[in-house]
Amino acid sequence: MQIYLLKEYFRIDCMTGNPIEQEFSDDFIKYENSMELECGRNQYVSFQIAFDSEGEEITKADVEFSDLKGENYSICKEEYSIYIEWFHKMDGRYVPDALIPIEWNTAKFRVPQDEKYLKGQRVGVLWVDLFIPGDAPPGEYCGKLAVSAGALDKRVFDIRVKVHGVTLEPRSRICADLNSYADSVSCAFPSLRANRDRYVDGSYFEVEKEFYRLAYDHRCTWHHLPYTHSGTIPQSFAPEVEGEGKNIRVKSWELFDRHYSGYYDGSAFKGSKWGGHPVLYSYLPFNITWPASYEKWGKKGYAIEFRRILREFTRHFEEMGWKETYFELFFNHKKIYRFFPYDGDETRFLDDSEFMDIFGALSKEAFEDTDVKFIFRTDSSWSYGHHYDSKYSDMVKMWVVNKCIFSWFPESVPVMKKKGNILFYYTGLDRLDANLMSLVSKPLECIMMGTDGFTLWNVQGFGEDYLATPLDNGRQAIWYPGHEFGYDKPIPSIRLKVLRNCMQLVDMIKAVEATPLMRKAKDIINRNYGYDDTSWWKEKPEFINDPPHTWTNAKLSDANPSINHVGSSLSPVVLDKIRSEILDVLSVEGF
Amino acid sequence: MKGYRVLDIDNVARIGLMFIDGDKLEEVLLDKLSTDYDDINYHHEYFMELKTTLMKIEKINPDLSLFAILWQLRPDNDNLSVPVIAGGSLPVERWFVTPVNEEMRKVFRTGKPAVFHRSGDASSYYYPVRNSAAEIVGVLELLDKQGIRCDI
Repeated sequence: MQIYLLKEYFRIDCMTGNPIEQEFSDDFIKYENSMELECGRNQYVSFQIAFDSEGEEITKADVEFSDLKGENYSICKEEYSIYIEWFHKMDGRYVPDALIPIEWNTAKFRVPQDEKYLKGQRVGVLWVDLFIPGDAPPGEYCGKLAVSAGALDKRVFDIRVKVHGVTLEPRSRICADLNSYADSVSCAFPSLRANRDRYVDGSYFEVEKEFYRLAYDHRCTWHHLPYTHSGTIPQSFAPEVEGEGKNIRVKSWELFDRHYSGYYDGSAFKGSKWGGHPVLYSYLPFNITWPASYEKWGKKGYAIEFRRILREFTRHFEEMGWKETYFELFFNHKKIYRFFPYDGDETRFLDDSEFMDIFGALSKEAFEDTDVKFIFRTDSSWSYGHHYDSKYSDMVKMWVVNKCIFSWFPESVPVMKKKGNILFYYTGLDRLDANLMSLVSKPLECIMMGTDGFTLWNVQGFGEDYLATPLDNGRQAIWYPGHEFGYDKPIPSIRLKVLRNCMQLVDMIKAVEATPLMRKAKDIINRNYGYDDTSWWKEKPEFINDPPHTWTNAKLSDANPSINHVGSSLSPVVLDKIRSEILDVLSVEGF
Repeated sequence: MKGYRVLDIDNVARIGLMFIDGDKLEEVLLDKLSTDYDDINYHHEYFMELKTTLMKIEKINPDLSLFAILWQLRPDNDNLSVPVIAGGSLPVERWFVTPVNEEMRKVFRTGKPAVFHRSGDASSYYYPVRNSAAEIVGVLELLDKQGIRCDI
């Protein structure tokens, strides 16, 4: 049996012990004596412990950490947390992603971890997070990790952490937006699915809160669109309204407040390492047929109902003091689903832009008359080139733009910034077995392209049996339901952890945006990618001047085949290099 | 006024069909031959009028909990049907262009209503929609006992 340590960014196939990132196997290192890590303060750092059973069954493993001693400060061993890596089958390989928190004590580490799914497993791996407290002075910290398993004598590893003199702020400056569609929670948890009272008895709220917290703890923002394409809103995702026309009013805020107040006042995030701050962004329940019924579309009653309830929202949110979250008025409806005649999402036919005129006019007065951060958002693709410098970017203040199409318009960034608009790009997750550099490139691209965040369009698609293989080979899940392990909570994934670790870095870079250090950080990223500032952008295709409705999805795919996989040709060790160089620069300057 | 609630499905359809403008249904889908997912486009005004009519039809007898949908045939292949506008729910076939079932085909061919009994309790009641030239230009589906709204 062998026990060795791994960096965070190389993963092991549990059946063979080979790295998943095979094409970079020259850089793959098994650390057999020690692990050296670098980070700032008030942030996490990660590594892995691998147990290669070499065919011998492992029924028990003991892992013992010591405190990490610095010159005048110790990082307590309680700052470590451990997860069991679960392996998913993909094209004949077994790729780790789901992470089972070991403190739950419902799943003991063993090899094979599971006789049904992982028969023949040879290597078991633990994921280790270590949190460096914000008050830890910069310097070298050393500790021990003692590991034993099976008949093997105890192995002792040195753990050395170089803590730089740079401190991560509690709140993210770049938004890693994890998108999903309500109610994507209940369907993933049998106990909720079977409970008709889940939206009123508190059971749904308890589970949902864990999704918000898991995102928050990983420097992400969970978005859960509160209505379907028909405009239907699950109970508690909007306040109940009564009456119609001039008599429409919110009947009660009680259930809505019980549902959302913890997210909007930050109390839901108390106990997190980064304190209890309100969620950065949140969808509003307003849509084409709520609160005003589409039956009244185009009539004065529609405008009256929409404006009255929007006014009630602004007043209520002011009274509640919910002033740190951006509340998004967003229309997700698509014509293909036959409910409404507009593509509110990804407007393609330019005459559909009319919906922005309509809702811009309906919301303008209420939005301008409050200090709560209500904002009109659109998700844009085909028409972005027509819209970014038009009247629409004056009325719509948050733009989430298709990555491929956004990459043709570097000139749009200063225009959007000048108008004070919030700018994200959107993309999707890669397959589970994709090089993790593609994932960590997503926040780095925000720095290099000047966006305020990025959206992963869906993170809640688990499929029928994610323990075997997640839906769409993992392209739609960044975490997993924990009920398979006895808990009604989501469990994290390796990809979520790696994303968090990179988000920590980009948040520190973003904090120096107004200083010359930003340029230095960009130069480091460019050098390690083999890029210059222009390489992040793409040539406009020949069809760019044709009306967007004449473009096809095939043309778009052909135009930028690799734009959603930036970084995938780089060795994962590049992440370490970038992090180390940037921490050096930031800590010298004392941020 | 209490009596209005006892209207059966055929009578709901009879009233509804009086208000569905077949000429507008003919023209509501602007590119009837599109195949691309994102290529669908509507005449906004006609859609609004037809959709709001479907929403009202669904409320004629609230006790029935009907969902109303308008269908057309693909002009290039009359073996394929298109759910053009959904009221409160998608049809069982969801939003897809789908092979015409026998009952719906019968309505297009004969102009007579037909019923498609689905698995479970749900049934689709099909009625012809005619234009001002008395041509059948679509089918009104009243989906009965579907229970859960078909949505996305």
